Amino acid sequence: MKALVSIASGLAVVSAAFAASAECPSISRDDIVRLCNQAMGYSYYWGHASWRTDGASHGSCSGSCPDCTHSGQYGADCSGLAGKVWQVPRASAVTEDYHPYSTYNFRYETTHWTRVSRGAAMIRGDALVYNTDGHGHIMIYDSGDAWGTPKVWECKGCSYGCVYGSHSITSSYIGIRRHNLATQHAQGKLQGTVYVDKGSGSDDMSQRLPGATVSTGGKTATARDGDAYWSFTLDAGNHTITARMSGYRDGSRACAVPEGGEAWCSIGLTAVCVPDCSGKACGPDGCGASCGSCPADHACSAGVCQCVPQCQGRECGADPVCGASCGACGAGEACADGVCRCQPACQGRECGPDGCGASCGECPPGLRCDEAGLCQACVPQCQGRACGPDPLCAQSCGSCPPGQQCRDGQCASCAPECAGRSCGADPRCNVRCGVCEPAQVCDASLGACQAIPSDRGKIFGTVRQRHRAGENESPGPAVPRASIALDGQPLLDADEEGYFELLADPGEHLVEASAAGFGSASATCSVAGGAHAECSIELARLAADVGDEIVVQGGCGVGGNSLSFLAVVLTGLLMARRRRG
Amino acid sequence: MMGGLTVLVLLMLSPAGKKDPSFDATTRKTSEKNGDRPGFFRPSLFAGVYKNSEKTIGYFPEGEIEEFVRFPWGSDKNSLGRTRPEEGNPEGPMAFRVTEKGDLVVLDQVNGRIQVYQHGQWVRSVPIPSDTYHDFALGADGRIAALDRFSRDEVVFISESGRTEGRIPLVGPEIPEGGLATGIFSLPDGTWVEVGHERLVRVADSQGRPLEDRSVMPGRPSADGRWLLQALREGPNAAVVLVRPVESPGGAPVLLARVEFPLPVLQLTALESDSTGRVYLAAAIARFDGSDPARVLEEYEPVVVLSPEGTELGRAVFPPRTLPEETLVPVRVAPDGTIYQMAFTESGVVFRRAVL
Repeated sequence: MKALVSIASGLAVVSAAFAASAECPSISRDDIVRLCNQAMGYSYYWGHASWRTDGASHGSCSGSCPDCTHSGQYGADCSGLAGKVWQVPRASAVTEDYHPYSTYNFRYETTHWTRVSRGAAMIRGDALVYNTDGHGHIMIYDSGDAWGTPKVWECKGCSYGCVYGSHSITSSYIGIRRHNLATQHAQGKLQGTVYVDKGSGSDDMSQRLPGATVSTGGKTATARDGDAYWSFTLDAGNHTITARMSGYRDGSRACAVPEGGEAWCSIGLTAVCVPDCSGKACGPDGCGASCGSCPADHACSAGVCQCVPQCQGRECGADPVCGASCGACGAGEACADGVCRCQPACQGRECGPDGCGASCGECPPGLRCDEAGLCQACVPQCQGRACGPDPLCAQSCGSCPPGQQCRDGQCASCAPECAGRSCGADPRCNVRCGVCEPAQVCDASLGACQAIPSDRGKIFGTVRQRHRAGENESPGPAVPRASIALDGQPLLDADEEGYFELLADPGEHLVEASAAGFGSASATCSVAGGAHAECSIELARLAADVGDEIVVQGGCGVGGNSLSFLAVVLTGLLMARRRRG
Repeated sequence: MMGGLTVLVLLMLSPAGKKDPSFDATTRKTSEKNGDRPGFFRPSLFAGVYKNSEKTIGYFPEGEIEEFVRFPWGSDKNSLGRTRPEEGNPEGPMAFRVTEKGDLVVLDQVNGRIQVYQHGQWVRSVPIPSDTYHDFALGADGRIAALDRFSRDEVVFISESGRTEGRIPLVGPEIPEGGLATGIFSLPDGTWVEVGHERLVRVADSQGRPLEDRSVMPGRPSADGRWLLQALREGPNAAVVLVRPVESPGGAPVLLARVEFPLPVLQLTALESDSTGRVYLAAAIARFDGSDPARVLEEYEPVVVLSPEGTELGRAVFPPRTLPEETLVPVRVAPDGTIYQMAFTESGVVFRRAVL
């Protein structure tokens, strides 16, 4: 047997030469199927091909071919089965052990067969074959299962014999079709689905129409549940398939049925549109038209016209069109012209914050605003404090002598920084570093004396305390830190020795001085451009009792061209007292 | 066309992205030229969208495909068996499964055994009584149900130690032909055999006893136990997935999704699911030369991942399996959603996986 088998390749060459000389006999696909079915159950017999029509005497195979052992007369290997059921290159009885071709011949020759595409082109009775490097296998194709897995007849191997079943294969197998197949009642399978055509044809078959009626010729089928699949077995050729479904337009397609094969012919149906305006005053009717339109300032919502509130630019109150609310204001707010505004909370309050960033009022001097918004008498809290404002009433607890600073309510010595400065106050302690000559003016930022600009005049002087009537005529003590105003505009403070100087436009100016515990006083002084004029001022200390007379005088000294002098200032209060006296 | 394309780059990463030294003994870093057609596939591309010259083949937003273990052809414990007769059907391992704890279980029927591997290392072998089994199922009690659909047309129950505990005939009510069986499943109520990739037939109760009245389910139960799944090829380039509630298997199916493929479908190769209810549909797709039907121009094995609602989540595109060796179960999905492919090369078996 092994000798017979071993010459399979040579046999194939010989048989191919023989086959080339004659056409193989005409047989039908049904003939092929019938022969295949006869062979099923017979043993795998390497290098052989014969069986009985009564299904008896299957034989058996054991071992691993080609070193396998076979018992019995009948059986076939894969290529033996293919050659026998195809009856190539000549007719041979199934009982005749005739094995003309190997898988090599089937794979690489086309004498009595032709290569065909895999997949839908395969028809019952075709074959699937591979052959690589001296190894091969061939199976007779029946059909594909739900997954497209081929169902085949094959003499599979020694352990299996000749069997029918599904056989998963790779692309290494090719399809071949025998020549000279008799045309016989040629039918094929036409199948498809019925789906909703959403305008993109078969690109979107996601919505199926199970229950649709599919018909062709005199045949009718119902698309099955789920995928709406249908199928017909029809004569080969062109057929027109029509699908119907209530609510959809009929659809038809012309499709070709291959002989013995299968083809797909899915049909898409488009929905028949019935306008639906029940309960709707507006909006689409479902068929591309409208159930009605809405008046201005209205919009259609779920088939009902609804007024559209105009709340643009409004955050509260009623909208002017529909009267609907544009929103509510928060606590402490009131709506005014569609805008939420803060409502001042001053009811029962005379001072303090109004809750909107403003004040309910200011308290008179000496009073402070308590938490309830009422002005209450304020007693300064200066215990332990020698200077600076008291923390409760912000009234002064005292001032520090020259050369000291107020720190945390205490006077502390301060070391002036006058190095490099010849005039003005030092930046640390605000203590005078020097005074310029009358013909020069101090650049306070630099602490340097400079010439008086030609277009300005220098007014300078000292603020002193005026003696009371009857006291000596010598100059009074300097009033430190008096506030100096020029022509009614506060300008600077005199230094700790009462000295001040300023630049003014040429001409006549009103210079006014004031200090705590003193009445204010002023003097009118004239100065020319590039010149200087002294304009010292005396302040009268406020009297402790009604009988005191306080007089403030101012005086100008001329350092340049002219001199005028006039200064009499009385406070309104003292003037009144004097008139009463 | 293929010659100019880039040679396959094999990734050697664990799912976490780190090299796992335990795989060194059984994995190789070199390109495999036999069986893996160079240029079809570059795993590094699959972090995003992968296209051929014309169409989107797959996209896998957050995953990658890696080869995680190889076994040479042979019969020792770290090998798997192949038969390639001169005139007969070539076979490699017919099926495999990945257990919940990650064990790789391979039906090495050519060597008459089932191989169990952990992290690529051999753990044990379970002998099986024949070399003609094509699928197997693992029972909750560890018992194996093996499907012989051609030679003896039977289901055999095998203990973990390899002892044959029972045999029941396959052919009978609802199964007219053993060769039409396409899978076997161990469910809590017994052993079920799938026929024609369409329906399941209960052939044994939970004790492995044969049943006189065989009940039928229209589809495979999903891993989350809620649905029966069916996949059907539809036309040359598409497939549909139908689902039915497990509670009412006789009801009308619902079309879960229609999946379009960029190339003609040779055949669907897997319909799986995971514990979260995701559904996985694999297909062998190929384009042939119009003037030479034997010439393959390009081919892939994409696995389409569907949400429980049928939304497509991604496509993991595995290299094509091009050798002629038959296998019944080339793609599996583990309960955690890891996709596995078993492919044959001239040197052995390579297992790849894609992790979402």
